[in-house]
Amino acid sequence: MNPAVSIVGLVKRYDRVVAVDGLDLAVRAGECLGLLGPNGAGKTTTIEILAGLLSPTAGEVRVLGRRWGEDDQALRSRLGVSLQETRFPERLKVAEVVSLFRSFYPGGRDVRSVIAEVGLEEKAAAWTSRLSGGQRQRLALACALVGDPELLILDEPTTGLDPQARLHMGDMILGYRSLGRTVLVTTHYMEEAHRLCDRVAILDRGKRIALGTPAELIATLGGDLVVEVELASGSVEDDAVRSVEGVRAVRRSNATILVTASEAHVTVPALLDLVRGSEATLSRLTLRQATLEDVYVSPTGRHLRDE
Amino acid sequence: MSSPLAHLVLARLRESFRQPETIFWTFLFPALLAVALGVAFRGERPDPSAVGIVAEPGLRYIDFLIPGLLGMNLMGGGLWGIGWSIVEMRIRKLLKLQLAAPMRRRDFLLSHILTRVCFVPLEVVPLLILAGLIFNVTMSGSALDLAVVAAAGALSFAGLGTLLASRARTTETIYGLINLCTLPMIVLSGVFFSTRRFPDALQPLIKALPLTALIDALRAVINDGASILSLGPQFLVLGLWGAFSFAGTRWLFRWS
Repeated sequence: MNPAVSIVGLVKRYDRVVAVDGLDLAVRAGECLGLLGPNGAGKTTTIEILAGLLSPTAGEVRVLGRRWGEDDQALRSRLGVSLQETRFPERLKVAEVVSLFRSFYPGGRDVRSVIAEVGLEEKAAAWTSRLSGGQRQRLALACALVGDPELLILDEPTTGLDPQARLHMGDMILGYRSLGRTVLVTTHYMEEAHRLCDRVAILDRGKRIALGTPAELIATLGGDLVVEVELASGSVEDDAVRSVEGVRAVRRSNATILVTASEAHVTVPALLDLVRGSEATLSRLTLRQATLEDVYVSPTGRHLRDE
Repeated sequence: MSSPLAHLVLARLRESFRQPETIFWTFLFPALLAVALGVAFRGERPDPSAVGIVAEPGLRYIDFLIPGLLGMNLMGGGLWGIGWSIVEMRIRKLLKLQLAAPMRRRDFLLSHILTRVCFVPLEVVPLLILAGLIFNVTMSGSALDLAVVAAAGALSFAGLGTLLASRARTTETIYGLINLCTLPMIVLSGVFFSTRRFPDALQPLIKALPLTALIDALRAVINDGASILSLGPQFLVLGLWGAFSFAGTRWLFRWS
């Protein structure tokens, strides 16, 4: 099956800044692919190029098998796009905005059912200026869905939302994907990427530094457990921790030492021995499953960044 | 109603009428200005050098002023109503989301122009009625001729409005550009006093301004009862400005 999106050697350069630096990526038809990365990683630039709003400096982009510049109008009617921090005409009502977007598409869905699907029925007659941040994001999703698109491109649909609203937004995206449609979504939230995405691509400085299913990416850490150690007094050297049996990687976040390992029963007692031997006092030791967050801040990314 | 153009026009009209400012600037401000100036200069002639009988209807300052105010409103409506609102949409990223949707670019610009045309009767008729009721200003020409002149003026300034909005990315820029266009014309084009007060050398320039052409045509129809058939030069000026502006817009307009 042809990929829904294929990106080969994509480069976008502004005067002095290289926003996207030779990106290769394919989004398979029917999958939800998450783009993760810090601010300035090139996520939004990539999204805007895919949505046909920016032209690339170099490289090739195909969306649903088409290039931008051939028949843009036809291609746009097959896409649903929601952009970062979308604003709407303040004095239009929710239903009017969705109707307006519906009118742009040759085919599409019933306006009321889309409004109901995103949970805005009660606000259908409210001016968009009266919406909360979460409601505005849901309206943006409604505008993206109302044309019944084959591919949904969402740039940070959940940024700034409270946890409940984020869960709800996630459910709507999963619902759309369950129809066999394709989703490309950027997010800052790792647990959300884990929940929503079949595969995740991590971008940094305009390059792809990791790609795979969340489980595959976590497996690259060398262990699926993370031991978090906090000391009340004294200190231990990273090298000493690294030499402890079963330790795969060590990093620090503020005062916490994060140790990646695969076997708790081997590594935890050995770590406790190390702390005792260093004449340091332990204030906290926590054992948890590794997450995408750990991949995100792991040496994989750091090494590339320092080069 | 399913046409995207109709939806865009309807959305723009709804937005306009839900803003109290629109009502103020479209109806109240011109009316207040007409009343204030009409009262202040009651009985005076527009042009002291002209020989005529003071205070005869048709020759008073208020008779001169009303077409001038109408022309000024039509200009302001085109430049602020279109120029300002397009730039505001561009700044607030409203445009971007619509551009990502399959909205035709042509429909977007046309919707602004058609919305302007919808506003023309609202800018012209109430002020004329008010002037008739309070100051006994009469309409000498035909309503149809007046409608044609007003529509030509509105379209010409709609073109200028889109041209000014072509590149501006900040409200400061568009504010400056609009004022740069409107303020000299308000002074030069005979809104409040006759263009004959300026030296002869300036007259060709003044005659070439779209606001002069519009106000001259409005005065000819309202005060003198002229037919549009006699207003060829004014229509030519308005047409050239409109054509030049729309062509420039096509050339210069940036969507992002």
